[in-house]
Amino acid sequence: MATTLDTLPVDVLLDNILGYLDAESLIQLSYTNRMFSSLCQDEYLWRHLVLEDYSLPRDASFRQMGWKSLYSKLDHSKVYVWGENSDGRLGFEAPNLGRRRFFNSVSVSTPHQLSTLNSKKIVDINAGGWSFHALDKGGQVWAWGKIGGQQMWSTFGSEKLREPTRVALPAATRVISVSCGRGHAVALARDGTVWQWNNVRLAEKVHLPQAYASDPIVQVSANWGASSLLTKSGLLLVIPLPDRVVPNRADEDEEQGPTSGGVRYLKSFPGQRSLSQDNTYTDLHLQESDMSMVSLDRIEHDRLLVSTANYNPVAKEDVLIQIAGTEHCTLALSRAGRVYRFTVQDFEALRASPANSTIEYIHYSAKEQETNVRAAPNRFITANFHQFAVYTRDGPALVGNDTDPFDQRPDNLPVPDVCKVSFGDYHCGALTNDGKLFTWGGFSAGALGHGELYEDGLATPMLLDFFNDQYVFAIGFGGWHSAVLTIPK
Amino acid sequence: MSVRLLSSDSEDFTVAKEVAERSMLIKNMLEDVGDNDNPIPLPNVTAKILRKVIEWCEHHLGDPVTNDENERRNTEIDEWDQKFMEVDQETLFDIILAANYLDIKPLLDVGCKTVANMIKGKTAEEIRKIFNIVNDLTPEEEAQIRKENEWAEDR
Repeated sequence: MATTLDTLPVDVLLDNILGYLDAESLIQLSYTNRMFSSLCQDEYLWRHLVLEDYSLPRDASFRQMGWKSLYSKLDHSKVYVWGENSDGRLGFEAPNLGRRRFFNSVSVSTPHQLSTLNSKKIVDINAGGWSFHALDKGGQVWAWGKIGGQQMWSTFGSEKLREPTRVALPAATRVISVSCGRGHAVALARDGTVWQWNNVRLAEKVHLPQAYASDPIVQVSANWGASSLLTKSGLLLVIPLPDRVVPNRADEDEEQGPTSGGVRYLKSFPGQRSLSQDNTYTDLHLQESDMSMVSLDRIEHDRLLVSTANYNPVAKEDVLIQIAGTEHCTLALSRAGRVYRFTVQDFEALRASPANSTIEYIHYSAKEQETNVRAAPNRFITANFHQFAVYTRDGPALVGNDTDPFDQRPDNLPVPDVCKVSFGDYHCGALTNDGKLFTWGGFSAGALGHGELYEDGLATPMLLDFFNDQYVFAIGFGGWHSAVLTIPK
Repeated sequence: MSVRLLSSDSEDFTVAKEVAERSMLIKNMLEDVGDNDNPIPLPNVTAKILRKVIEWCEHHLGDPVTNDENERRNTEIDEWDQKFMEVDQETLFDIILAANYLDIKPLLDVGCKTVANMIKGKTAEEIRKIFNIVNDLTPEEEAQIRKENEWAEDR
């Protein structure tokens, strides 16, 4: 019998041929016959198209379904925010939105749509300590609230963004993922460049030492006092925060750092930092001594040198494939399905003994060896502040705290089919594959979203029925504020 | 050093070892059996197709081995490969099947990109014609699928 297109093995069709098609062609092919109309529904194909055409970050969620629906409706995404609004961090023009609770707290206790971002095709959202960062389809980043500042007092130099403002990055830079720490954000662009900022007006382009030139960065994740970068070969690089960018004041007598558009850097990394040619960002050339590096190779080597290592022997040829930053630590998932925690806050300690800075959360690691690759992981990890979540294909999401000991038993999140958990200071939210949002934890100026109910907090996750007629696809909780992205159902 | 390969229709091919080792299947077999003179039987590949596969492997002998799980699925094909793939459909699919069986990833990719490029930008009717696909959808089913994809019409 002659070989024809429709007699090729299904795995060749799906993994190879159909993976090269764009959405239009895939749809036309689905009209041809019954077999192709079924093959063209494949979630993995549509996941690839969403990641590719909408620049949705692949580390944004552990989504297992709904990709085609996302693809068809992402152009119509909406942004909802709620929670603490005393400093106007929610980004609404109306200054008095919310109910005054104390002298320094104004609660917005139900989700409100931030309609200024309606046509922007927002695809992902993250919360910083007092701010939000949203990523749009075209790879531009929008920020609002206070990025580098405290809530109560006007911190030196922090600027308040009353409404979503575009982060000043070169026009050709297409950001593919953003991660927020407390007072800064770090981003990865499609061209592989890494950017950091604590002020939307002057970002920093990070140049790593030559030794890493041939090992591209595949993921970035912010800590509170550093940024964590993951390389393709599985190295974790921890780099220092961007310097504080402050408004430029002519009357200051100290020698000025690079300036641009009315803001400037405080002097740091002398000789390593310069203003870009077009004055729109600064270049920072890091040296090996400014940063630290962790690899499973080094950990394994070091394990033999310490008397009590809090981790099992590293699996053969294992490497890190995903990272998730907390305040002081970076959680990491390995190809073999192990979950590690590296304390990254203290660069010196981390450099001196990676082993002493490492534990393995053995009950979050895979019980039997599994194979995880970034393109198709079986296990997944996210984190904020002190909490983290580990996701698997068939079990519940496992929630933990980064101060837990290595042998801590996980908490099973009592919500089925969760694809992302996000943590504020005291409140938490979980998103399911079918677009539902659950919240629990502290009231946090209404950040739970259930109105003025549950002022004493919610012990267990509760469905937020505000979104019953929408499909929630992204979540960014932080501090005392919450945000989600939705598409029509 | 050379290796003997035996096609399904019993034609004996002698090729340089490094050419044969572009196939991960053959490479692993050679590692398992060690050096010997017996031909390696390839019951899924005819002489006609094996000849094409060997030609491709010889031409691409010097290629760097890339193991890229790249996001971007680029469908560009270099000129030599485009010429190489100018064959009738049946041969094209048989090359793909052989590359899949022999585990020659770059050849599989080139073959599949060629097919993808034949599909791209075509209407359903054109695709059916090109590949002789019989439409077994009832009008109701087809209407249903078109309805599900209405969103794509006005983009």
